[in-house]
Amino acid sequence: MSRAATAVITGMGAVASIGVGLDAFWRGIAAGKTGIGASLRFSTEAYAVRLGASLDPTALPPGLLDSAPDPDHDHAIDPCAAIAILAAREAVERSGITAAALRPDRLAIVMGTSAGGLHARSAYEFTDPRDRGRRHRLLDRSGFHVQTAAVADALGLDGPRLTISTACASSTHALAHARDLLRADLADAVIVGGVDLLIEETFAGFHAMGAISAAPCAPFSLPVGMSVGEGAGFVVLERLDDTARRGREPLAAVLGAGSSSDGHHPTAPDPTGLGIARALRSALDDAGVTPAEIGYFNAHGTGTEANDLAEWRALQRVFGVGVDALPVSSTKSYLGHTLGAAGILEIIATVLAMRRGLLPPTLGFTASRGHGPIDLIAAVAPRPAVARYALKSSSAFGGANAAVVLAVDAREIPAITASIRASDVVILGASAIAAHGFEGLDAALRRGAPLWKSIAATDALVPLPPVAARVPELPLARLVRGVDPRGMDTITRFLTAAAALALADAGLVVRGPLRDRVGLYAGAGRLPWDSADAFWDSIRARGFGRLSAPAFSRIVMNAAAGAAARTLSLLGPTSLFAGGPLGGLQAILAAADRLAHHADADALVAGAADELGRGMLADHAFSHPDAGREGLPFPLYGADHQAPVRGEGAACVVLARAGSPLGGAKRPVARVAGSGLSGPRGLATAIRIALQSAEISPGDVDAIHGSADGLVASGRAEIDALRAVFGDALRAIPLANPASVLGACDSLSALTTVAAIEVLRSGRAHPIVGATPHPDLDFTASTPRPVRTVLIIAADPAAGSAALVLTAP
Amino acid sequence: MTLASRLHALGAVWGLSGGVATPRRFTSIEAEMAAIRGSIGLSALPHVACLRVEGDGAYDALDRVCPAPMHVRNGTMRHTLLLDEDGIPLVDLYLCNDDDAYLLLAEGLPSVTLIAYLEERFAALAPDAAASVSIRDLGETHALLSLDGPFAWELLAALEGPELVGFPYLSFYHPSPERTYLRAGKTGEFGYHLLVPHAEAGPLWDRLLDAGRPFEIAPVGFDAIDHAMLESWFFSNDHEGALGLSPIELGLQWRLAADKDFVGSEALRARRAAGVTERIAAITSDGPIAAGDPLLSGDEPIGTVLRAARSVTRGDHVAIGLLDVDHAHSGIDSYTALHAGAVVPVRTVSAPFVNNRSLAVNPQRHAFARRAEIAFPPLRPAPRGR
Amino acid sequence: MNPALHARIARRKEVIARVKKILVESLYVPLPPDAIDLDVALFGSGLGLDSVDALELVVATESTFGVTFPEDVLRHGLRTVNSLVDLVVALQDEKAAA
Repeated sequence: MSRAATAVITGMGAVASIGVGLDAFWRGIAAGKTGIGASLRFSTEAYAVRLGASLDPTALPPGLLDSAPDPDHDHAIDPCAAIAILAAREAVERSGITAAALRPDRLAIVMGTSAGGLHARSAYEFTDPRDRGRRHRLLDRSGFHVQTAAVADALGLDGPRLTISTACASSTHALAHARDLLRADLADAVIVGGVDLLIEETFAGFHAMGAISAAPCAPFSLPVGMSVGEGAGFVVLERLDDTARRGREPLAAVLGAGSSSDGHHPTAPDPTGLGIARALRSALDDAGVTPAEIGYFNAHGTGTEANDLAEWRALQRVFGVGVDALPVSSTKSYLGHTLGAAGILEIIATVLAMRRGLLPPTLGFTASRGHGPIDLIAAVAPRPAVARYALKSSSAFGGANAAVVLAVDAREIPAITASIRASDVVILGASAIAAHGFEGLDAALRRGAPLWKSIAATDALVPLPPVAARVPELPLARLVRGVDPRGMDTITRFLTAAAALALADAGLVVRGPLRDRVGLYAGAGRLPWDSADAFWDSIRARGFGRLSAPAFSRIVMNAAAGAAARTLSLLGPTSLFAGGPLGGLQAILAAADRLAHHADADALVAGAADELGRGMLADHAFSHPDAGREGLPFPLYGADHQAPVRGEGAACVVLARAGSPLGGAKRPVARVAGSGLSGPRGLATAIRIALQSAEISPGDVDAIHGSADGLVASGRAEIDALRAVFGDALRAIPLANPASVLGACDSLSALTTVAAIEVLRSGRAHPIVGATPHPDLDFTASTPRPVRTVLIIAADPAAGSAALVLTAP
Repeated sequence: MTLASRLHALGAVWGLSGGVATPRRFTSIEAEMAAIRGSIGLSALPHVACLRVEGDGAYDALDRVCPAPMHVRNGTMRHTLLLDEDGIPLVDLYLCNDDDAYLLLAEGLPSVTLIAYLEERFAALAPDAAASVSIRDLGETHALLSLDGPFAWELLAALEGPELVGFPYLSFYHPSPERTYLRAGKTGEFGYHLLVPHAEAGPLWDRLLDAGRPFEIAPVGFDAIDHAMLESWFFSNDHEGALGLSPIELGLQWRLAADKDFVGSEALRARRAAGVTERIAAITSDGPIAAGDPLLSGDEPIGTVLRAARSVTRGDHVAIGLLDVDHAHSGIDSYTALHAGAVVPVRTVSAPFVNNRSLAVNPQRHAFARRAEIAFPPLRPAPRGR
Repeated sequence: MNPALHARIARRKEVIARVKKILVESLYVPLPPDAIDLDVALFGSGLGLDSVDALELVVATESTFGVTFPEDVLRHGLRTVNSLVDLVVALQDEKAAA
């Protein structure tokens, strides 16, 4: 299903240092007053430079920012979610959409955040390990998707939920995904934005990297350096034809969106500008707009030497001689670098200014650096100028770049911006890494014997579970040609290996011009454990002021994806879905939608990785003291309490447009027939949408792959939804779930997808060995009919629901 | 007019390096060193063997032969070696990944000898891969020029556009399909190797000399580059590489993978197992010393001078000594050399011997014309510690 | 070897061993300590550390040895393992003298 109407912004909301609420925000921009100052909510004595852009607490509801994450209060909202709710609510109110006019399950949220759960995670790290209950609740709350869920719940949004975490490019990527949700007809309005708090962890991290300026940041000017900020920004995105029906004028249109991986370095941008240029070109192509038509460039412009120069090089490449006449500015001189909120707040500033016939300036200009924008809007007030189209760029740790093309004038907003017709998407290859190793997933699942083993208790302070399903030693150098293992954390090793093996399975050699045309969409449940341990260990040992800069660079959610993209030369579009256990399937679904509707990639690798860190094991032992014994199954989908065993792993698939000429590619192994996304209560809805978009009826489904983690509630959620859709026919359809062999983990939704592809290859369903028989379910895989159509499902109380239909090619 | 005829016209004195004739001097080593250390030196490097190894088996074949770890990303290069079966360096090598074909820039052997070395070992060690590997001698079609100096980037940016300014060390790109520009070099300064078709080499040489005039560019011969290599502690195949020492004694273990087999790896393992007794150390002295001079601690012999020269940049004498491992430590000023019957006090120091000006030059901010504004550290590092 | 020289070299060896430990354990240099040569470049080629590693190397070395590096140390004071060891030894001496 596809609806190509142009995506337009119909409401906006902002919470920033220069003002809370859209009116105050604009007054701040117009007045040319920076929000960067010396008053931060933590002591800056330990730091050589001490500036940041903090929210003014007096402009906010009392106490909103002071609240530490309170693990003992179930409904306490993290300040990160609290400011996001303020901004999102304003955007919704201003857009005039109401629950009465739109069904709540057609209202989606896409939230970008770089450090969303970090506040709670840090509280966890500084809680005595023996206080296991408090630690458990804090760890639970540190999920990035949990912040998104808090916003969705506060606003009554029952539709799809995506949490995008490509570090400082998060909310620009989020806007692109929101547009894809509208185009795939998975929502009628998307509340899309970004949020991040100025917490000591991030301030100290940038400080350790020597990136913070002693003066308020003045991008493209001397002195060099950034300022960290905080805030939240949201917009409501709808289809143009829907707003016309509601009789509303759109504020702006998102005409194109592009993305790329630098493939250069964990933190430094590719100094040649090639990476950023790829994202800019892909946004322009997507919009069908030429560089000459761009009247304003809102830069990522952090103020660091490396960023600003790389961005300028990219502009020189894309705009050629025309670059001399391109007005450029960076809104970070007002807001500081608001990380996950940066892209969207800067887009909001751009739209507000352009609608008034103005362009926002760069504040604080003192002297040119010698190389930089010729027409830098260096002023203390916006410049009167009419820009037909604006181009906005964001860049991030991990080498992720994102760009969008905007227009505000109704005459420049076409009814339709579909750059290509919706295409069929196929899967060319797949691979999984888990307790079974890195090959023979099909054999291990068919055998059905659980693969967890006793683990040696290495932590004297807290108990560990008796068993876990760990990935055996990976011969990474043998699996991934040309891999540089120096300093790679576990999750990066897993994701890189899974992506490389999936490409090998697809027979796809990424070389030559194809490097720019293959991208990576990854899901992640939590911060990378290894690197998070190194990060907080360095704080505990040396204090915030002397924390480890490399560890800081590796705790962004997309660090592993960035490293994998670098190793494998996947320089096309990228994104990171911090959807908890749903992240993997969300990434695969979004990749399929991207390929179906956009021409900027020939293939996307999509999947997820997670790892059993020390803290994960300790937490599991706390919540499930009765968990598992070696060789004994834990019964999935039972009605009584069962203690799941924890596993780890990574799984990736390679997707491409059907019939596209990919060098060396084999025949497809599966076809993406349909997919659906919905909120936490909407698994049945997601399944129906998936079947409907696949144009099949429930009776056509030959096998089902679940991803329940073994807890009664998660099993029941899948059973209830399946029963609602399939009725009595359900008991004739084999149900499989690799958790029965590989343990439960955050990558399960990706692992179960790869298992489903194995089933399509052989035509024979997988069993669940050791499951307690269930009157409505078939665990025996005893169906005589060959499996040609598989339904894959996943649901999580915070992240929402997802369903995917794959068919044999 | 060919490149060679231009070089002759400039009065180049030719000599051998790695068994191949190369321009070794144009004016004087002092003038040429001044260009390398202070502005820009332009050189032609016909003695560098430039090969292209390609085909499906290229990675596997090179992986079995070359000592370097093979994680070299597209568009980047790794500085490594090729060894003989005894673990002794044969060539000093840049291994460049050019879209999964490999560009080899090698000093130490003529290209025909190097090709024979590779073909022989590919066939012996990776017979399956060898069948699908082809080796092309780019020397037949291309010439290699080099720009070295603290402002080399500025000249190239003026000629080729600003993108080049940010180009990271040990990476390369193709400004056109037939040309390859590599950020490399062994002088310790900003260095760019320019690999261009023969027909373009002469005109490019002229253009560089012409556009380089405001930068006080000078043609430099390999004697000056070789001297800069000594000052900057770059391994020289012609000197210490010719003495039968392994990368262990030569301090080149960083160029070897720790976890794979390659030509010479067995011999190196045996050497390590037998115990390493000597390694090289950087030495300075006020008086002259020369290769072959014994090194003493009091009366105790502790090693030999492998290579020595009066440093043009520093003014005093610098040397590479081979010392027993217990004595081969930096910062000792009580050792002596026996030179021509006289006792010369020497001092072990931490390499390199010079503070390259390039370290203080920021291409984003600086320019040759305004070099007086740059706070250069003293060229000769101040001794630190006792 | 005379006792004074022996003491000096012994002290240097001890600093070298601890610096190599930092390189292997905190900076993930993929070489056994014996294969980390003393005059090898830390950044760029050589051990291949980058600018972010440099920041950690400074903080980890300062913390290990209880010394404080001068502000501009990364500009030209730190090129090789040996030069890092020189700096630590010199700062320890200064500290002892003060």
